[in-house]
Amino acid sequence: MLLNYLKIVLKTLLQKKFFSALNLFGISTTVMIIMVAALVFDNHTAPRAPEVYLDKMLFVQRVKTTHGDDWITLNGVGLKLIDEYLKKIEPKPLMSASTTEVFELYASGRLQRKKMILTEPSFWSIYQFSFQEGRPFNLSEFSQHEPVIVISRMLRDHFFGSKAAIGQTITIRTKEYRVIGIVDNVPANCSHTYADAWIPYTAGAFDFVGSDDLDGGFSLDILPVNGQSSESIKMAMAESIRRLNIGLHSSDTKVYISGPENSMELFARGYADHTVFGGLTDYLVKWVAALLLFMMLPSVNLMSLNITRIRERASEMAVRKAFGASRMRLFGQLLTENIILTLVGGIIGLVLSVVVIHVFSYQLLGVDVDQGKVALGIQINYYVFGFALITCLVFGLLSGVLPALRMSKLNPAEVLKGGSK
Amino acid sequence: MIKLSNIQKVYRTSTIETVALEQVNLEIAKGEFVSVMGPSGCGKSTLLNITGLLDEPTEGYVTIAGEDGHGLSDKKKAAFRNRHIGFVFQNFHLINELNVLDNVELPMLYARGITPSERRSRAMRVLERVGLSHRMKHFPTELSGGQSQRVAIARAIAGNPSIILADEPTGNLDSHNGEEVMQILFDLNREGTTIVMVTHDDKLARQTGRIMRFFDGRQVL
Ligand SMILES: Nc1ncnc2c1ncn2[C@@H]1O[C@H](COP(=O)(O)OP(=O)(O)OP(=O)(O)O)[C@@H](O)[C@H]1O
Ligand SMILES: [Mg+2]
Repeated sequence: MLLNYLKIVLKTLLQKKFFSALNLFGISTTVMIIMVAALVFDNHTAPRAPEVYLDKMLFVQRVKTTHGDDWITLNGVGLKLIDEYLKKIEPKPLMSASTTEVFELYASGRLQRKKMILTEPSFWSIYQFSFQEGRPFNLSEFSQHEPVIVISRMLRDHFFGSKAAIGQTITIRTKEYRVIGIVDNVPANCSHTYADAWIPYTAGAFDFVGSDDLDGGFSLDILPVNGQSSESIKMAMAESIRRLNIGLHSSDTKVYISGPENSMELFARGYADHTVFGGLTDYLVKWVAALLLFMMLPSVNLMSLNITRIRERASEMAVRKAFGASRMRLFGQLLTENIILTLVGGIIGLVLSVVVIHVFSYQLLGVDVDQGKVALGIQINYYVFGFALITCLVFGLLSGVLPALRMSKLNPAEVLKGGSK
Repeated sequence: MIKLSNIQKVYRTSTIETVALEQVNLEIAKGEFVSVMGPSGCGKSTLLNITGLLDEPTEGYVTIAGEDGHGLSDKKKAAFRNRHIGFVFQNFHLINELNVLDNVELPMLYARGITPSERRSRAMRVLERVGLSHRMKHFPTELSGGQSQRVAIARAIAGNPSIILADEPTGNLDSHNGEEVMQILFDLNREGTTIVMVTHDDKLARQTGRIMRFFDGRQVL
C-alpha cells in the first residue's frame, strides 16, 4: 500500500519533468550554497591541527591611528605596541607576536611563492605542530638572535632529498639558517600557522627589534590560560590602549587596536569595512543575515515559481478531487512529493557541494595554489546539511504544499465550474 | 439513480447573498440521458456539482447510486466519486504537465486494486474508443479543443463510472467536433451509462432523452 503510494508520487514527479527539475535545481543550489558557505565559515573558525585552540584564541591584527579628524592610518601591529603595552597585561595569557615574509623557490619546474613565519618561542605552545625531527627554537636562541629555522617536510625534501637535514644550513632571502626542526606540512588553509619555514623574528633579514613604531607588520596571537576569560583580556588590553593614548604627546593622535578578536570576528573582518574596529559582532550579524538572504535566493525563487503556478495547481487539485482524491490523500501526496524532492535535491546539493569544494577549494578559501595542499577534513558539516534540508523543506511547504492545500480546500466546484462568463 | 430533494444553494460573501438554486426536486432514472438548459447564471453548474457530491447544498438531500450524500465524510465522497461518477468540464481541465495517457489514467490512481499495467491498458482502450490512440504521448497543450474534450471524456469513462456529469462538453467546440463528442456520449448512454449534460444548444438537447430547464435557480419545466 505504502509502496504503491510512493510509486504514484514518483510517477507524478516524473510526469512533471520540468517542474521537478526546476525544484531540484532550486533545492540543490540552496543546499550547495549553504554547505559551501558553512565550509568557508568553518574553515576560519573550526579548530584543527596545528590550530587546535582556534576556538579559544584571540587576535590583534590591525592598528588604526587617527590624526585629527580626517587623517587615518591603518596598519599591522608594531612591536613596540606589543611589547610595551599589549604584553603588559596581567594575568598574562600565552601570547606570540609574528609576521610573515614571502620567499621564492624554484620547484616543480616553476618559481613558487612560499611563506615564512617570523615569530617567538611561545608560538610553539599556542599551536600544536607535529615535529618529524628536531625541535622548535627556544627562548635563548630567540634572545641571542640565532639564525635557526624550522622547516616543513616539503622544504626538507626540496633542499635535502633523503639526506639528513638537521644541523645543515639553508639560504633563504640571502640569509643562512641552521635547520633545527622539521614539521609536517601545514594545510594551506590554516591561516594562522601555514608556512614552510619558521624562524625567530629576531633572526630575520630585517631588524624589527627596537623599532619605535606603534604600528607595523606584526600580529599578536593570544591564547587564554588558566580559565582566563576573553572578556578580561579584552578589557585589560583596552585599558592598556587607554593609558597609551593618554601618554601620547600629540593630543590629536589616537591609537586603536582591532579587538582582540576571536576567529569569528576575524572572519567577519574579512567582509567588513576595513576601517571598522569596534562592533564587529554587529557586522557579523549583518553579514550572516545578508548571506542567509543570499542563500535563500534559490528557495525564494522556487517559492515565487510555486506561487505563480498556484492557479494551475488549483485546477490540478480540483481535478484530482473530482476524480476521487480525498483531501487527506492530496495532502499526503503533496507532502510526500515535497519531501522526496527535498531529499533528492539535498543529495544532489551535497554531491555538488563536495565537487565545488574540491574544484574551487583554493578560491573559496582564499589560498594561493603555490602554498600546497589545503585540508578539507572539515568539509561536510552534517548539522549544516540538516539545516539546509530543513530550510528547503520549510520553503517547499510554505510555497508549494500549503497554498496547494488551501486551493484544494477551496471548493473544487468553483475552480472547475467555468462557464460562459 | 439520482434524486435531488428540496435542494437549495446560497453563496454567501461578506456583502451579498446569491441564491444559485432553490427548491430543486428532481429524479433521474438509471440509463437516462438528460439535458440541463437555462440562461447563464441560472445555476446549472452548481446543480451538476451538487449532484456529483463535489459541492454541498445549503439545504436538501442528494441521493445518488444508492448513496445518501448527506453527512458523508470527505474521504467517502471522494471514493464515491471515484467509483461512480465521471466529470466532463467545459474547459476540459486536463492537467497540462501530464501527457494524454497519464491524464486518462488519473482517476484509476485513486481506485483500489488496479495494477499499473491494468491502468495503462484500460487508459489505452478508452483512448482508442474516443479515437485518440495516436495522441497518447502528447501533452494537452498540443491538442485541439475537440481532441482535448475527447481526452476529457476518456478520462471520465476510464474508471467505468455509472454516471457521467458533463458541463457544457461541447461549449468550446465547433459543430463538427461537438457532434463527435456527442456521438461518444450517445454510445456510452446506449451501453447503459446515465448522463446528465448541461448545454446551451437546443438542437443537441432535443437529441437527448429529456430536457430540464432552469431559470434563476429554479426548475421551470
Ligand atoms: N463561488 C460563488 N460565489 C458567489 N456566487 C456564485 C459562486 N459561484 C456561482 N455563483 C453564482 O451562482 C449563480 C449560479 O452559478 P452557476 O455557475 O451555477 O451558473 P450556470 O448556470 O452554470 O451559468 P453558466 O451558463 O454561465 O455556466 C450565478 O449567479 C453565480 O453568479
Ligand atoms: Mg456553468
